[in-house]
Amino acid sequence: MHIPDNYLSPSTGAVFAVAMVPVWGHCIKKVREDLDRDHVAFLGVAAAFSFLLMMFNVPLPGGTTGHAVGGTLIALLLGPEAACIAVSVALAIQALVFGDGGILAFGVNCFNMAFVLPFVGFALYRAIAGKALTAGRRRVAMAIGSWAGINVAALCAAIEFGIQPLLFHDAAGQALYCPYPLAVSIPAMCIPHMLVAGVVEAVATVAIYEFVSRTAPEYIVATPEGDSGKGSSLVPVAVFVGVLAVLTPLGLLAEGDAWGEWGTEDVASLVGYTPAGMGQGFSWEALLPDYTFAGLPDVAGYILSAVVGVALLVIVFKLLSAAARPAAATGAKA
Amino acid sequence: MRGVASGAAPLPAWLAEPEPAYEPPRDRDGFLRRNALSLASMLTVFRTPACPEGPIDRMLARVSPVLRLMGTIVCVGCVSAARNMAFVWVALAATLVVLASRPARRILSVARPALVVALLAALVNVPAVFLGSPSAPVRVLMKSFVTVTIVLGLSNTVQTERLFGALASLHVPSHVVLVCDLAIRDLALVGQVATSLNEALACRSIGHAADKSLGTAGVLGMTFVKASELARRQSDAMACRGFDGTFSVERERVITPAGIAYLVALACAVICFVYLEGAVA
Amino acid sequence: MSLGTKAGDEALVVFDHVGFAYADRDGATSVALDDVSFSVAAGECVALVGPNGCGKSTALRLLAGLDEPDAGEVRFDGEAITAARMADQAFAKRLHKRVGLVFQDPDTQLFCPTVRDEVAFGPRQMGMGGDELEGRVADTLALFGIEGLAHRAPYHLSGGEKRKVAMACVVSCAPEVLVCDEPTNALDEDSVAEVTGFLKAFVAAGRTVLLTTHQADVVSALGAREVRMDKSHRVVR
Repeated sequence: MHIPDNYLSPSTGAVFAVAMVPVWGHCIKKVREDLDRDHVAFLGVAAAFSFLLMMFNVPLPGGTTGHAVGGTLIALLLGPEAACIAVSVALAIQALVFGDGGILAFGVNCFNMAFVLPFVGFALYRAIAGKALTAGRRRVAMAIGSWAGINVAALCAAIEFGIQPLLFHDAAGQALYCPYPLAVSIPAMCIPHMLVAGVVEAVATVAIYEFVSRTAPEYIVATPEGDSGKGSSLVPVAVFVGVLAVLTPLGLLAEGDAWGEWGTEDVASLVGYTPAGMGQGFSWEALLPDYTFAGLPDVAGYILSAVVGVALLVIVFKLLSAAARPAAATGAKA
Repeated sequence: MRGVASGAAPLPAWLAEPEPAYEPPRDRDGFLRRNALSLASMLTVFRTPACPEGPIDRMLARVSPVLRLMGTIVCVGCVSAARNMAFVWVALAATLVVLASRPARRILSVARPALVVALLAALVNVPAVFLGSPSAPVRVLMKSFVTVTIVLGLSNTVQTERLFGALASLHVPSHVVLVCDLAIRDLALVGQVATSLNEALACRSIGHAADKSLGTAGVLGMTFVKASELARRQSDAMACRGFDGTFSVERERVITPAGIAYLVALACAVICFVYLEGAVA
Repeated sequence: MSLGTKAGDEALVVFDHVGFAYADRDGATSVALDDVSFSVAAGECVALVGPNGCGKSTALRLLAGLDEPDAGEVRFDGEAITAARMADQAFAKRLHKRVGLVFQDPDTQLFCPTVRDEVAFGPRQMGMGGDELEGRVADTLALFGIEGLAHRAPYHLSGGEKRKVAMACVVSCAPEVLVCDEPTNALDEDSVAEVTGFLKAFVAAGRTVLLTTHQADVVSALGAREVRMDKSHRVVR
């Protein structure tokens, strides 16, 4: 679901970037109020889960690939505002360092995966779980919420793709950016996400949440499983993150590109022409494009990319945690 | 004070009577004082003891500092000598993992200077872009960051006494080790003195200083005087406690289970370097 | 309120539920003050007493604006002393003029080439010159009986002489509140009597003294009101 550069017009990217500014502002303010130092540092670990989930590409119907995001997972652990910040930072690192997701499309990607996904997922979880006391019902609510969150985000991405030919085309009617209209983009994005990626998201969310609630419950603040009075260790979580990082090359098994993430030549072969905006558009030279290291086999490059990405996220949030208030009572539980 | 205590002279009028409200004359001495204060407070970094605070650092703390020193030199050498970026990326990943395992303050104390050095080095190499080597700034930036992080990581997590003890194991004369050890301690004390003097200056800067350098020069001068005095007193104290010029340094065992594991890991790093240099020639 | 006028009903110095901790390593802090509340009225002599390490010196540093409380408020003449306010140079200078802090260690207070320069430093900053400055310096030196030390370098003096010079160089600025950190430490009996005699005269002239000490006889000699702190860094009621 990472929209690359030149698939959307720069003006579309700008509009969404501007729209995200008050969202980020509100989320930063809420995180500063609700989370203490330890939880802000843990947000880096949560962001690492999201980063790693996004590296596990799964094959989707239609020959493309997709991935889970983990935004609802973070919302369930630390709140939707924290999830917005965490996923935004993860997307920033992916775009700048690994070239996954466009720079000009950063605002759009954040809107879909950092804002829509976790807020929709968390709201639906709360609506379904209500004041449910049974863990089973809460798990079902988490699964449905996370499934719905990623699908609504995919729908948003599909709409953003699909309106490009309507709004931006040349005199001959050829699209300047994404050439596929809504009638194509919506089913192409939504159906695979509903059938596969959404299920992966739900399973991953519930599984990882359960793991964290058993091994480090004091780090959960947004849901009742959290237990701030119980001391716990992050060692099992750190080991789990390490194992996930080592297993990321499984994502290489899924062949093909994600829908809407083809290269310019692939687009030309699909639609018969290269949209002008794509051919002459913005290009960013990432340090480690597509999670590869020059000179290293893909598997080694993928694992190293996972390690670098996770380490960067943990470092960034640990540094941010230094500005947070010392450990104290955290925000209200769901 | 004899005057007041004996009752022979009362308090002077300017002290005995209330004064009108004081409005300080305008002055711009903040820049000089702030910079003098920040220079002095830089010395207080020596007060912060090196300490292994992350889980990886605590494991490495069981390794003899001699091996850690050697390992650091070998790693820095390999990263610097790497002709392609493959090994540098591996080293970067390992460095970031160790950095991420530390508390925020330790991360900042290492990453900030490392980034500054790396960015400066990259800036210096920008002309290479126009001379046919477009990736030179990035390569230099990566290598600088990794090597500086490795070295600072060692100095931040291994106590200076252990590091100087390691020097003695490498046949550095013991009096050199003693001088280095004492210098670190004294720098920390001097930093403290300078900071306190600057605070006193701030408390007594209540108006306009015609000669802006007087106060700051006084602080720096007194810091130097105090440093000399500290050195003299330290020498006297050592003589009083029987110091006769000989100094024995406690040496740690080098070959321990942790040391062997460290040597194995170091060997793997060297093998990785050789393989990647050869495989991606 | 801008430290230029007297407050209404509130005491001149107010410590209002003040908490402060020194940061050691990351996350680790060492508490110096824990929910400390007390006040000092204008014209009073108050002694902060307590064992070593209970936070007495820290309280004085907070009053001088050298640090900012982590919790609560320190107010002087009704105005909170915060890092933000101290960043305003005019405010900081007015505060330091009205609140004169004599450090515990005189070695870290004296930085001028001669004793005379030390005493003249503050009044010179206030804009005094010529005869007025000379008069102020002469008065202060006479007040502390250190006329003979006028042209000596402070770092060559004995401990007791340095302590008198340190106090003199603060008093020459005519502060409203004299804040002294262990003013009689390492002084002989005669010097202690001289210091207490001066402080009593200072208070008798309508000014205010806040000092720290762990010497009970100094407190009784001054007739000071005691504010006792204990090892838990709190004020004992």
